[in-house]
Amino acid sequence: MRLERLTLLEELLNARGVSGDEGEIRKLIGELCAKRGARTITDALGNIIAYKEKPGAKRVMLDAHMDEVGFLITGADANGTLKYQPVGGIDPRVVISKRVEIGKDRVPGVIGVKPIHISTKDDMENALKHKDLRIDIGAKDAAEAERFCPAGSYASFVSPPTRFGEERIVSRALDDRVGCLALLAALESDLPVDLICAFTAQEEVGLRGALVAAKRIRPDIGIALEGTTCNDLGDVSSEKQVVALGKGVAISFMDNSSIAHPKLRAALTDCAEVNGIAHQIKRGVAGGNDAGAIQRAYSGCPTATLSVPCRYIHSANSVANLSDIESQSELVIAFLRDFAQYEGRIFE
Amino acid sequence: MDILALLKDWTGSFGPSGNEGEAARAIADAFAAYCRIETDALQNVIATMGEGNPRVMITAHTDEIAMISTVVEDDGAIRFARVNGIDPRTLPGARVWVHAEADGVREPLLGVVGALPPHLLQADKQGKNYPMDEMYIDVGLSAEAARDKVAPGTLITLDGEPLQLKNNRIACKTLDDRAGIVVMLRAAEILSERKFKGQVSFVAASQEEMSGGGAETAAYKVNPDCALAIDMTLGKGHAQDSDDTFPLDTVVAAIGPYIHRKLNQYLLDTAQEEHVSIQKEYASRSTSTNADDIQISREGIPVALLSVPTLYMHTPVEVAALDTLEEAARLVAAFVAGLSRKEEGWLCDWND
Amino acid sequence: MMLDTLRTVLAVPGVSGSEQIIAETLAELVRPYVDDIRTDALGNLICVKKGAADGKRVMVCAHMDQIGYVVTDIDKDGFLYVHNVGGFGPQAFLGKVVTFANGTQGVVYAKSVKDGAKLGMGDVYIDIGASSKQEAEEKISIGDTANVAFQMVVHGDRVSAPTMDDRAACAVVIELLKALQPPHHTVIAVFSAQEEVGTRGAQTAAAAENPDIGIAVDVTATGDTPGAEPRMAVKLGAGPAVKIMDRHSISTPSVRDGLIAAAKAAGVPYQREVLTFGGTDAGAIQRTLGGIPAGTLSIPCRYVHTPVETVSLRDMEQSATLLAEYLKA
Repeated sequence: MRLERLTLLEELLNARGVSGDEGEIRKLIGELCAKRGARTITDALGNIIAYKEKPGAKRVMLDAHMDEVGFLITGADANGTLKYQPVGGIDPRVVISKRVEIGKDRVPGVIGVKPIHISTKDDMENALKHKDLRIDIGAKDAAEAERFCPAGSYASFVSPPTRFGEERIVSRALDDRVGCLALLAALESDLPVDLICAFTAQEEVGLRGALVAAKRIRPDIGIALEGTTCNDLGDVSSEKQVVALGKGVAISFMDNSSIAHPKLRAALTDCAEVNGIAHQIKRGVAGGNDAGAIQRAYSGCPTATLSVPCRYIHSANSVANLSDIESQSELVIAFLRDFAQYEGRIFE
Repeated sequence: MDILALLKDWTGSFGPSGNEGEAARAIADAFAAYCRIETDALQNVIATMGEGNPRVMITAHTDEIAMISTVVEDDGAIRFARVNGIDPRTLPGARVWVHAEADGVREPLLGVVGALPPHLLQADKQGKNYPMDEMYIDVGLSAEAARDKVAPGTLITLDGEPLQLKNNRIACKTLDDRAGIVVMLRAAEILSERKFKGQVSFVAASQEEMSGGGAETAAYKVNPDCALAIDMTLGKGHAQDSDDTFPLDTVVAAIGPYIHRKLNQYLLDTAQEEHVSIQKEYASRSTSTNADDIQISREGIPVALLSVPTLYMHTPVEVAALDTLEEAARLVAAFVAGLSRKEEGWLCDWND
Repeated sequence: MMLDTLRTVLAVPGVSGSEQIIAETLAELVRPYVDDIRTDALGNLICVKKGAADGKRVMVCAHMDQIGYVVTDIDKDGFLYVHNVGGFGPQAFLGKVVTFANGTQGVVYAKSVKDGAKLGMGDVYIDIGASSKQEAEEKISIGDTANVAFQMVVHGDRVSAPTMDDRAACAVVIELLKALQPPHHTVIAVFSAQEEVGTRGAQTAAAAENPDIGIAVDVTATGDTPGAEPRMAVKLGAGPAVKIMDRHSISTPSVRDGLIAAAKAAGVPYQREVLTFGGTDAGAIQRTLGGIPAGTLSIPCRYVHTPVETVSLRDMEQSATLLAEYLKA
């Protein structure tokens, strides 16, 4: 991956934006879109939508969600620890002993748990639930905790993006800053379509942003650029892996929010083949994403999803492969660049 | 306005989810004193005052929870299922109304919910609540007469004459959410006595307890600049005293991704100006109210949620404080009247 | 006639998301009887038969997709791993023959599970007689869909076969279109896609057409078999069922009452249906745009979502008669 792309990815990763609190990442994306000559609007849900218009050409909506999973602070206990609700799907087992930061001032906190020395067999076996866990910012009592982190504040994992191994990167929020990176790459190119890039809000809490964005945009085609679950390490049999790191961008045939438009999916696959872009099929139907919302907005449109494999998705430390991230951007740009070749068979 | 009389009248009005017609008509008649009325194909009532911009939609839901008959046994016992929301624990030995229909005219039959008496239950079932499919309704008729009057799909509602408790509290069925509609009517009355710029549509929405379809489609039609949903939240009392329960003498605003932050802050600021006691509740995802359905209507509608704490929700003895309904109405009226002072585009401007 | 039409539409593959072949079949069958045919982005087949200028626009919606399996992986020995498309569990079709759109046949089985453990969809696989991944890939790709193999048993009025849900309704709509003299109301006959995965096709079809009224035609369960749970009043052979409610929607009273009135006017028996689970396209139509009055006319069906779904031809014929009457006035 070229250095400026990696730098841009890290910039996107360092901005925070838990669903419903996307301010920081939204502001950054606004600046980055302006630099790429796109006009932007923000809407009632906090989506930021960038336009590179070509009237008369087919209207293509590229979608990546800005928001990440995190925590909503709901109050404080007498002992000064903070209660929270998870925002988006976070398995309680992955938050144990993790570092978080809260609010505009990035107040540091940890999610602690009873130490092993005084835990029973039962404690060791049965997972705690979010309602049993607390965030500790070091406050002495409820009043102090509420002064620093009032109820209604949002918290995100702390996990600085770090290169490691061969071409790997570990960070929180790879899902879906990798998609945002692809959209920004598309905005840099001059493509023969009426291009609208929707950086959506609130995907992790029910595909909310994409639904209203698609109703505004009314695209002819929609492509969601996502991160997807990857289970390829730990002696996992093939049918349980879903995708593998390093094997390229994953093209979905179906997930729990939508069935990909067969002809659009075939066109994307052909485009990858013809251009020598590493790609794989997502071998599973788990997970949902914005494509489902776009597909059925008003009278609907053909949709497909292109995903970057992410191990340990929806945790503090998700891992992706840099060349997979590049493949995702390359494929969507190649497809739109050559759109005239594929348009006919998709819309016949 | 006699809030108590209105509540007594409306909570007794027939309007289960999807069949709100009668209750909707009673509500429409009352709003006609202040508003232009439209009722739509899904039995929403849309009552509008004022003209021009800004346009705001206030909504509470008309529908009540109910049961529905499935089969009549050979001994005349009527089996039933829930339409929605019914707590089976409230049923054994309860009085209910079976809304038989003859030639389009509703003929409510009084019934009692029966189940196997405790002394005759097997040991492992004693101490367990009766599942709904082991209960039946006794309307005191022979099987032949029952089958004749009670066709499959006959609606059944809870019986519960409103009861006044101490401290100006009321216990009755369907405070959820007819109390919210009373709040809207009182707000309409307050607004009719002052000038305000812009237009407000009070929507008595259908089917909230089912799918939220009423509010979503009404919001599409009204196409407001912003909206406020009014519903009930959990009150603080016996066996319900936790973070997500609230004292009956306060109103509650919701905070979370589905609620528009600035609009909610405006609601909180208005409450402060009007000296209305208000607390906050948190929902990191769905609010389980019509606010959810409105947020994603059209191209996204900024929405906030105002709730009145209620004890024993979804039972025939829901309890709320009448004074709080008046406070909520004052707040809603001020919320509507103050909107015209906001600058255009304030809700899509996210520069934090 | 009804039996022939039924047999034709039952035998054609079309699992949710892969409805192209059944859509083509249906288009050919209805082309002589409608004024306009088109498909949309979700694969819905939308056919319009124009009525009088002062008539209403009535959408009549039967879903053409069927439940089935989608291939999620192919292992090195040529076994196909699958997931369900539509609502059914891992046990549903074990030991049954399935067919793919290209004619390939397979048998469904599952890994053994330890005592007390529950079978999961991840344990289910299809054997197409291949000995290696390469051999399997000559015939099947990941993402391909398979449905329970067609077979039909006719006992007089009663017919048993897979996919009565909802091809029986498709047959009813075809016969309805044939029988309609120019209707008063404009009929928008939608053979919807992807109903079994969440009434998806109906959403976009209803938003595009924005009809005045929507009527879904679907199957419903009956209460007349041994130990039937839950208890239902609906019986096979007692006539079409007008749906009062199911778990996803409550029929708009005006539509429900209109269907009952049409039954009485046409002199056909009708039943009142309460379904305590499931949903139909009517729910999706009702919640479209500014709201559309909608309901469902149900065809009683025993053993729904099994290979032996059983309907009564007379119930089907009466359903078509009832709908024709509804579209007259």
